[in-house]
Amino acid sequence: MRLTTSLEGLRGSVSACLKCHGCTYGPWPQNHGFCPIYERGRTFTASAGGLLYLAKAILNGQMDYNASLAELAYTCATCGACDARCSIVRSINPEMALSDMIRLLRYELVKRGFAPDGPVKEMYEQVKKSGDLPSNGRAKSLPIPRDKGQTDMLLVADCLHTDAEASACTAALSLLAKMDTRVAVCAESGCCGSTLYDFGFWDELPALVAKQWRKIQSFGNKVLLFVNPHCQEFMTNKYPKILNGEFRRFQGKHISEALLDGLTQGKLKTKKMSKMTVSYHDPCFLGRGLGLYEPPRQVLEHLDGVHLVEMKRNREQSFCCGARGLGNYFDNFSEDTAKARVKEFLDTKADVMITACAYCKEGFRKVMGSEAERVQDLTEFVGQRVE
Amino acid sequence: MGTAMQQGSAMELVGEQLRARIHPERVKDDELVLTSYATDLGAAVPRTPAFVVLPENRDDVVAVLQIANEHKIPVAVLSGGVNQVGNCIPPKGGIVIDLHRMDRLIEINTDSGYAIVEPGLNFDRLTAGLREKGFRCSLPTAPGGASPLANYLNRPAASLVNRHLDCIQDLEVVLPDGTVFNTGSSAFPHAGSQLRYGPFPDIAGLFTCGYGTLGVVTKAAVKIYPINESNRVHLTAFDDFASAVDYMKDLINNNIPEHVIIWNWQLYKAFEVGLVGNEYHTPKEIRLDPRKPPAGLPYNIVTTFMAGYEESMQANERICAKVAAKFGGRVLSEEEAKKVVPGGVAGWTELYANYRPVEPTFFGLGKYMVWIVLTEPKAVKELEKWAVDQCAEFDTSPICYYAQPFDFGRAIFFRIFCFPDPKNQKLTDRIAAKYREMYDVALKQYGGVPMRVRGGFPSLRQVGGYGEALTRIKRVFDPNNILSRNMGLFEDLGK
Repeated sequence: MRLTTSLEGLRGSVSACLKCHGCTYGPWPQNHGFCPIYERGRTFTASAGGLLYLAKAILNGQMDYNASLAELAYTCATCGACDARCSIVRSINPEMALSDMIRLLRYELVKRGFAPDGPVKEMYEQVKKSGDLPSNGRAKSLPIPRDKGQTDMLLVADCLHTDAEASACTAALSLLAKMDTRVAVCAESGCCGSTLYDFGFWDELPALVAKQWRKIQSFGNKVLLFVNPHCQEFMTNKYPKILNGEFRRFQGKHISEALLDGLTQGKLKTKKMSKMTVSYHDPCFLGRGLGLYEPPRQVLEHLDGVHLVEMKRNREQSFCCGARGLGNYFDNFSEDTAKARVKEFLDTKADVMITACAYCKEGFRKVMGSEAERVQDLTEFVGQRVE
Repeated sequence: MGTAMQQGSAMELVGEQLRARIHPERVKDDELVLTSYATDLGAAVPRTPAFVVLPENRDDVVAVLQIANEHKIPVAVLSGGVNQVGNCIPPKGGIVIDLHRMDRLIEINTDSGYAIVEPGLNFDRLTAGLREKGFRCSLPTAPGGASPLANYLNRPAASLVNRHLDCIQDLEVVLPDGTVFNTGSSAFPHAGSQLRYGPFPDIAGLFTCGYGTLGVVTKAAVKIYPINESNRVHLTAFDDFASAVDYMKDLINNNIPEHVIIWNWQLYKAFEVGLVGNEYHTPKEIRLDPRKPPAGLPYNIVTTFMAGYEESMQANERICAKVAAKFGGRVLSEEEAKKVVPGGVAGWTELYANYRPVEPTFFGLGKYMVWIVLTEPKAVKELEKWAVDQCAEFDTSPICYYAQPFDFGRAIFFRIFCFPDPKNQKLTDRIAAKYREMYDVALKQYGGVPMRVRGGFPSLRQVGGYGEALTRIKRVFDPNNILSRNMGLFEDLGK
């Protein structure tokens, strides 16, 4: 892999941190706090910089790998908010963003048996056994087009780990059908590799990625269409580094871009409906990960009766939903992080929160209780408001 | 000293007392927190504290100091925490007071011209708040996450130090026994922070360059300045440093600039260093001999910062051109500047014309090792030649320096630095040892005084009665010597 794969390789990076706390807040002049673990813990320790200092302590023999470090490393939501904020640390290993360094720390912890109890350990047990997360049969529920004629696009719909992901893909396929856009669908295996990468299951990663890439290649040279921003970000930014010689550049497209094409070209006709105010939550991997902030907003603005209001922290400064913060360093971290974001949504007085990531949607719905229906995926929302 | 068990019980008692007086959530002693606070960018040997305390108000600070004082436990304070010489790390087993949570911008007084800030407020937030009111502050070449209060107490090399060396108006200070006092006019009831000096002796000066050894500052009024109708970052080029110094002094003596900085060519080229996509770009010139710039690159570029009415800016530009010619320099056109120093133009504009912090990107070049002295204008001309020759022998490049006037050019600040490979311990040790020798030579031959205390150097023993007087003050303020013992400033205390 063209990624640093041992902590020793980060010695220069972890030694360059100025402790300026720049990794905990967004750009000037808003300076919004946007690191979920720092917002919760409010010590330097609970920040990207803090984790680098702990990595430095391990390298210098001041501390050993331990369960508490694992809990903190896995509580980090790896939302990538810190990545754009520190050029100093990043300049030593330009291939590795701060969140990648935290994932590398996770790899080192997992190798030594410190995967935290709970969902992380469960996933790791599955991956150790089979080299992949289980394909759980959700693919069978997708309305995959029977007509297998010539298609230009391949919908990459692996990683149907949750019902929300399957539901978003189902809505996407319905909309594509309405647009008369023919797509092939790749939805057979468990994971594209993004979950393995995120959680430090790196020993199994190259083989899975190679297998997944060959499968995608077998569909021919097509535009790869994504609903899941995690998959799109991982395949766009990390596949080239993991695959080495096998990789071929591909054109990727997010479903929001395809929907925008459909609306602007008249292939999707918006229904006349009652007025509704919405606010859009930028998923970390779609926004910061891929730079796609505007297409979802433009889709919403095309819909009749829909008025978009922004949350205080939006676009590059979006605050993470916390869904991928699975460690136990702080109690109820995921839920509390989601609640903090939901509060921001409620402050907008909007009727509905729209997002374009199944993890975000599920995380917010979980804490919205009886008002869970106020959180919707972009594809499902558009499906309700077009003919 | 007591047995390990006795010491352990004593620290348990300290922990109980801290948690009884300060909210328990603000008192940390878990391994991860203690470990992450035990080092900084530069401190060679980790010193793990016993507690990290995160006060949220002045009363918390009073409590932790009183407890530390009672038990004679050394304390170190951090505000921004951007430090590389161990200032914020107590001796092993001490207490770190992290003031980040005391981060309010309490007041912006645009009438008198000061802002009241807490130590945890950073430059990014202060400048954003000031910008909304049409004001600005003196900015160092430090990250936006640095603390203005702490930075100003260290008497920084900042963007207005030529005209306004002092950035502090007044302070609120807590002593180890819990005494709290304000300095300056704000010590009077009903008065604001309009006056630092008089009618009583200027006690705020004791805490400037005090490094936290005499008290903990929990609030300060800092100086702010209006953003004027117009400003300029004017560039001139010189092929020798002495002429650049003469140019600078002439402008200052005629009240033209707010501030002036002389940059050497490897430093202004180093501003182009940074990430371009996934590649770390370094211009090839910075690997050459620092004494021999390639053709087309002036040895020094001088940036002159001016602000005021547009008419005065135009007049001043003509004056700068006239004075530059007088000393053998030339004005850099906008076009030439973008070609010769593109990174510098962008950074200088942000810092000195848009008044906001800019993160330097060249720290990725290696381990930042710096040497700084202040001397008189005539002496700095010779000192520059000598210092560059010394550093050119380090087998590492670039060798960067800049020089700037303090207090109308009465002193010239000269900072030279390099970035050796952090994995090359032999080289970094050699450079550190050489720097120490250079301080001795600089003092004896050029009257150059070090900028700050670092690891007990320079020593108070070097300054006779001055050191004795400060030591007496220290004994009164901090008789148990708990404050910033790690600085080594009052190393003889208690012996």
